[in-house]
Formats: sequence, structure tokens, C-alpha cells
Amino acid sequence: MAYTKKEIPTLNPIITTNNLTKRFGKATALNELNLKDGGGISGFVGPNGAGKTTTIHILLGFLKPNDGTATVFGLDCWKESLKIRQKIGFLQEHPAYPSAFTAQRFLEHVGHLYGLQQPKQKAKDTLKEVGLAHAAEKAIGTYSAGMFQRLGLAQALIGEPQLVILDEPTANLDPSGRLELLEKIKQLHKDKGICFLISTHILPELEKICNWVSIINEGSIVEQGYIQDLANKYSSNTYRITVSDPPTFLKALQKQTFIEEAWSEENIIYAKVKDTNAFREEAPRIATAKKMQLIELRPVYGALEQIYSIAMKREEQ
Amino acid sequence: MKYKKFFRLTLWEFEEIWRLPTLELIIGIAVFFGLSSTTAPSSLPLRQIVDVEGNMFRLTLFEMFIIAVLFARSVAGNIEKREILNLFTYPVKRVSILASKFIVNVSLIFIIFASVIVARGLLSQLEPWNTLMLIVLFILFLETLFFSTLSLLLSVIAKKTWATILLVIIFFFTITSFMPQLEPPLKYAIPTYGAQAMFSYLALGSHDYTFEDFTVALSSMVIMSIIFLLVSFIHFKRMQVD
Repeated sequence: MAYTKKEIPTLNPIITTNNLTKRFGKATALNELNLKDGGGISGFVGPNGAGKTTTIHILLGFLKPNDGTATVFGLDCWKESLKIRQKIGFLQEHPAYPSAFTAQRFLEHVGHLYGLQQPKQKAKDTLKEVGLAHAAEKAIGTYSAGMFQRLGLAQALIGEPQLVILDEPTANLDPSGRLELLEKIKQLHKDKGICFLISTHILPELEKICNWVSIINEGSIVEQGYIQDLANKYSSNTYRITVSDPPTFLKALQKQTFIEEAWSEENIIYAKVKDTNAFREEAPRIATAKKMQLIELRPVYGALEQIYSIAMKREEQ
Repeated sequence: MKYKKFFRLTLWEFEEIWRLPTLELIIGIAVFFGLSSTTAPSSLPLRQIVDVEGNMFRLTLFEMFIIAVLFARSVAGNIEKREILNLFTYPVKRVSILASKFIVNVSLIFIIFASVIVARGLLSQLEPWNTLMLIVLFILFLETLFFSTLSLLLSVIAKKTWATILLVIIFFFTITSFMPQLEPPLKYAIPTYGAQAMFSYLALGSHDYTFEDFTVALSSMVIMSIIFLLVSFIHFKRMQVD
């Protein structure tokens, strides 16, 4: 289930850009971009060539903006890049790691660069955390695409970062690998409070773990905010509800004035609502009153796809 | 902490670039070029170590090529394959990254070629701490430094492995083909001729070369190396990668 506002542990934005502009010759890659993150797990979406990677590269200090400002943890991305890099981890879209190194040795080196006290042990622990302990002593050059991506995550995590930026993290993974990675991200955020900025094309996946999304097109932000808020703004107000006693809950729901229509499909209840706030307050109460367990309550849109589609269309118009 | 990180970067560079079979290959070829002699034995002991007209020039050519290949792989190759982006994301200064690459490669190339020359001297019963031997090593160091800084500069500008190697070769053959027409002492601003001039003046006491020739040779090599190095670091520090 996607996070709601109340569940987010950190709300202060870590990343802020103000009128960020980047030009390559005559081509404008970023045009007065105003990006911020949600402080938890944030999605950064947009079509190919929209400027996602350029933005990330500015945040990491690879590129100097032509105009505007970009800050991470309140620090200037170009002038104070070193301080920022001490606090963040990065997984690039097409990573290249020294193929002759073993994963253990590679992470040891990275750990030293972050100034860790026990880089050897930390490398071991991190490899275990990402499920690569069995391949720790294998040369990186022999790794499969999935293992390579996990190693990428490991090198992003070893420095104990407060923020991890992932550029297309699921691009080279099969469906099960994608799910595992997303679960890992969710778990890391929950257990260690690590914030993530995830740039990806695959919206349904993002929707599962993100609380915030920024949509970029042609170098500008076309929409951003909490997914829940954007869903309320853009979606058709249809919710999916899973309860321990679907027939009873459905009957009770159909009597409510804030419900436009409610139906059941394979023990899952769908409700089209007139008043979202009333529905979100009342639905748990109905379940409690009927002494049943409310297992899941979330908008059916695919919210993010719908938000993305509408926002992009609006932008084109 | 800074030194620890720098040490780690140099170790990383050493393990990455100088892994098998690079090291063995370079040592093997250096030994072959350095110890094989094509000229008749000379009465001067030092001529038995480094023949100015023959072996030293061959060694220089080979050394130049090795330096170009190593820097092209280590710096331009890293940028081309985007491995450098990883290093850029870690909390280390760009200057440290480039300095570690430069120091590791220069040191190892010098150690290998110096070892070959010392070995050649030992075979000729010449002690390594002999003044003449130290002069040869000094000139070798200057040559290594010059070609390394040149290769470094072309690597950070070209950002592609083969382009870097090609540019170094073109640069070398351009200056050796066209600049000999220059009159001394300007001619000795060219590193290969400069090395010969310095060697002949210092070690052999040749009257064919004047102090002015020696000064031009030495200062041009040092000044050009410093300029190449500074421009490389400034360019690398400001380099934008996307």
C-alpha cells in the first residue's frame, strides 16, 4: 500500500531546486526547474529526454547549472558537492564497476572513501543485506544483470547515506528482481529512515512504494506533490477495499450517502465515492462497527499512471 | 583522513589498472627493449647502458607508447566507460582522483624502466649509485614525467581511449618529423632531442652541446610538464559529465 501523508516519518524536503536551468549548446535540457522531494520515498518521472538524468547529475555535482540553484540538505550542489556526497548514495542507470574486482574488495574501497571505521565488515554486511553474500568473492565481471544492480545498490548504501538517488533502478531487472528491489527500498526506508529519490519509467512499481512524485517534461516540473493529494486531484475517486467479510461491508457501504456506486469482484470491494474525505474517515469506522478487519483501502487508478497521463496532457495543451 | 582516502584511491588505481597481465607485459617488453643491444660494445661504460643514438631512443619510443596506453585506459577509458561517475559520487575530491591515477602510473612506469636501466648497468659492472647512472635515471624521470603529463592532458580532453593514444602518437611524430628543422638550441625543446642533449652534456661531457642547449632542454621539459599537469587538473576539476 502506498504511504499516506500521516505515515511519512520525514516531511522536510531534502532536495530543492529553484528555476534550475541547464543548457547544452543551443539545446535547453532544464528550463527553470523547480523540484522538491517529499522527504520519504519520492518518485521522479517523465518521458525519455525530459531531463531526469541531467537533474540528478546536477544534484550530484557532475554538471554545473547555467542558471538557478540546486540544493541537497541545504548545501549548494556545485560548490558544496563534497559535503553532499558524504551523505548520499547513487545508483546510476548504466553503472560500470571495475570488472576484475570482487564485490567485497570493491565495497571495501568504497567504504574507505566514505571514511568508515570498519569497511571490511561493513562491506560484508552490506553484501548480505542486498543478497549478494554468496557472490562476495566472485569477480564483478562474472555477475548477472540482477546481481550487478544489487551491487549498485550495495555501493550506494555502504556509506550509510541519508539519501539514496536511484536512476532507473529496475531497468535491467526481471519482474521478480524488480519486486525484490522495491521491497528492499521500502524496508530500508522503514528500518533505517533512508530517503530515496527514484527516477523511473515504470509507474505502477513506483506507486507501490512512493509517497511523493515529481513529474518532469521538457525540462520543467509539470506536477508534483504527495501521491494521495494528486490522486484526489486527478483520479476518478474509485477505491479498492479488502475486508475480512466483504458481503457485509459491501451492504453497509452501499447505504452511505458519500458513495456513488459500490460493487464486489472476487471478494474485493470497489467503491466510486462522491466525498473522498468522508469515505476515508467512515470506511474504517464501518469495518470496526461490523467487527471486521480492514485489510486494505487504496485508490484504484493506477493512480500514478492516471496522474501522469492527465498532467502530461494538460502540459501539452 | 584526506591522506587515507588518497592512499585508498592510489591502491584502487593500482589494483584496477596494474592487474595481470598489464604489469608482466610491460616489464617483459621493457626488459626486451632495454637489455637487447643493437650496437657494438663501446669503450665508455655508460654507452654500454644506454646507447644515445640507438637504445635510448628505442626505449623512449616504447616508453611513450606504454605511457599513452596506460593513461588512455586509466583516465580516458574511465571517462568513456563512465566508471569515473562512480568515483565522482563518492566523497573524494576530483583532484585526488586524478592525482592518484597520475602518481600510480608515473611511479610504476618509472620504476620499471629505471630497473631495466639499472639492470643493464649492473651487467656492465656499473654501480647503481654511480653519478653517471643517476644522470641517466634523472633524464629518464624527466622523460617519463613529460610523456605522462602529455598523455594525461590528452586523456582528459579526448575522453576516449583510442583517440588519446592516436593523439599522443600524432603529437610525437609531428614534433619529431617537423621540428628537427629548428636550429639549436630550440631544437632541444623537443623531448627526445632534449634528452639526448642533456645526456650528452651531463654524462658524456660532449662538446657538441652547449650549456645553453642543456638549459633549453631541461627547462622546456620541466615547464611543459608543469603546464600540461596544471591544465589537466583544472580541466578535470571543471569537467562536466552527463
